[in-house]
Amino acid sequence: MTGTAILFLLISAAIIWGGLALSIVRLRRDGGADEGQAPHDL
Amino acid sequence: MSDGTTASAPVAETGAPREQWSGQLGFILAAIGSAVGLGNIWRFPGVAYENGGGAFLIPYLVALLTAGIPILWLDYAVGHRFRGAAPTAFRRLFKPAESLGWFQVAISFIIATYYAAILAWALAYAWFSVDLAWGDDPAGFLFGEFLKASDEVTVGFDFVPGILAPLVIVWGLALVIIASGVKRGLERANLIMIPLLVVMFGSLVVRAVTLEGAADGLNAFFTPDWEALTDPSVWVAAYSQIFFSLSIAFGIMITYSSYLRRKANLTTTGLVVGFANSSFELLAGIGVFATLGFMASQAGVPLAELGSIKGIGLAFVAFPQILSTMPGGPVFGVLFFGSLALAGMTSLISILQVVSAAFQEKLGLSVRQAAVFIGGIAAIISILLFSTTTAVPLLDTVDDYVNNVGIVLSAVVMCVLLGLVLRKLTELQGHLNARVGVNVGAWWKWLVAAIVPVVLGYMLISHAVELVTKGYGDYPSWFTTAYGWGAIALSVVASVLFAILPWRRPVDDFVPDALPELASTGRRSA
Repeated sequence: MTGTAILFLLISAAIIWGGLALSIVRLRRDGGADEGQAPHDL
Repeated sequence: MSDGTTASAPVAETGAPREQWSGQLGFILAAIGSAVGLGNIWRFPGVAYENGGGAFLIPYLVALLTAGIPILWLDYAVGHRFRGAAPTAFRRLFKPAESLGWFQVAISFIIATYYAAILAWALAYAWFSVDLAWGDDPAGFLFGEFLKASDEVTVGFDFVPGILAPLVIVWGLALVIIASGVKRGLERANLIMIPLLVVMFGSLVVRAVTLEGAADGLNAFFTPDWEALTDPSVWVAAYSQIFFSLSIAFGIMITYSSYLRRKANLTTTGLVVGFANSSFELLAGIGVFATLGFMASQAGVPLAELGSIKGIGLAFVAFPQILSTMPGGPVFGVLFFGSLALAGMTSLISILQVVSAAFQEKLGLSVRQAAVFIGGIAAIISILLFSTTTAVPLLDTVDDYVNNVGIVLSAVVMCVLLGLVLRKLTELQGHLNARVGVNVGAWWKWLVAAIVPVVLGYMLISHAVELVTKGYGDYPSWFTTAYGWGAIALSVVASVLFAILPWRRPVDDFVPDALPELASTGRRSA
């Protein structure tokens, strides 16, 4: 592979896969639903 | 965040409690399963290559952040705040808007009928891969022996047993999943299929990058063409790719988010789903272009001279051709077509859930009744129209019109209606911000009400004008009018008719959660 292609592969991976990793870390930190509460009925 | 800012939820007097995901993981996997579909594998790599290679990353990311994730959040906010499938949620938002929900249901119904057929092809090809049944003429095998495609552009009922059998299997499996409900059906299916898809496709990519010529393919895919960034059509292609890839604006994410618990984190899960979808697309780009590099090196031609790098041609002609010449072709073939089938199935069940949930709520059907009656009707139409010798032109035409006109129209109307006509974005922003997660600022309202309608409106008008003036493909105008525009017209008529039908379950006695006082500024209470 050329140096430019490798650079863009790395940049793409860092932004997109890195973005996914950061989102997951943020989600784990934020937490989610209150598990004890049921959603309301229709 | 204060818990005391939301009012207690009303509980319906009749009917079973609304289904829900068992937790965040179930929802996230299902939403990723819906977003990751055939287009991630066979569309993104070709689109990126044709629109600037590595440079395409820039418009692609801009589109993800300015349109993809904002509309995903909009869908989540509508479905979660108004607790229903698209018709229910839109009606609770503004009664006449129920028709928009039914339009999205109609579009989903039509897509399900032909999407299942492509899955059936993938399933059949996973089987054919075992002994490379296409021999040395994959194109001839696809259109001749397998599809038995008629030269005539029409709609006939000359059935092809080779398509009929896998199509029945696809529909049987999909309906069993839908009939099993949200937790036991959708969630469990995605819990199995998504990890399996990642392992299978990951194995395929590892094998692909070790093939001879893979580096040339990756060079072609990642080398940037900076001039492409000055071409508006490249930006439109990026918005188009993000838009079609994320399963937004046709009811899926509205329906899925309606099964989330009341205090669920909406915004951060949206980021996870958006980036997970793009992550799979990047992985697919690497796998597909490494494999195409191998194909080019075997043929002794530059990659640019290869014929099909997108869609049906890539999956069912180019890949079989590659499999015939590569070491371990049958294993690679099972992984590739198995991945296509898995990615397609997780998307198909999400599309069907839009239809099933809408009719459950409107007609008071149980989960199983909706799967049997409504899913059954979709299955019969799908089998009647797409397991025949005339399936290809019909599928091709309906797919183009329903996606490029139907879904884009739905998105534009939704954004304009909520953002500019009803001015509901502040309320929806408050709903998003009343939960844990990324805080959504006023910029989100600008993106949804201004940027997205302008970009998608341009896409819609330019494509519609092209269809009107030039037609679609090489098909006769009567055919594209009848089945292309006809599909759109049918969706519009259905959206009006179903909105007129009386509700069999209470729908209007619904009070959405009260919002924190500070919601008007978009800030979450401390």
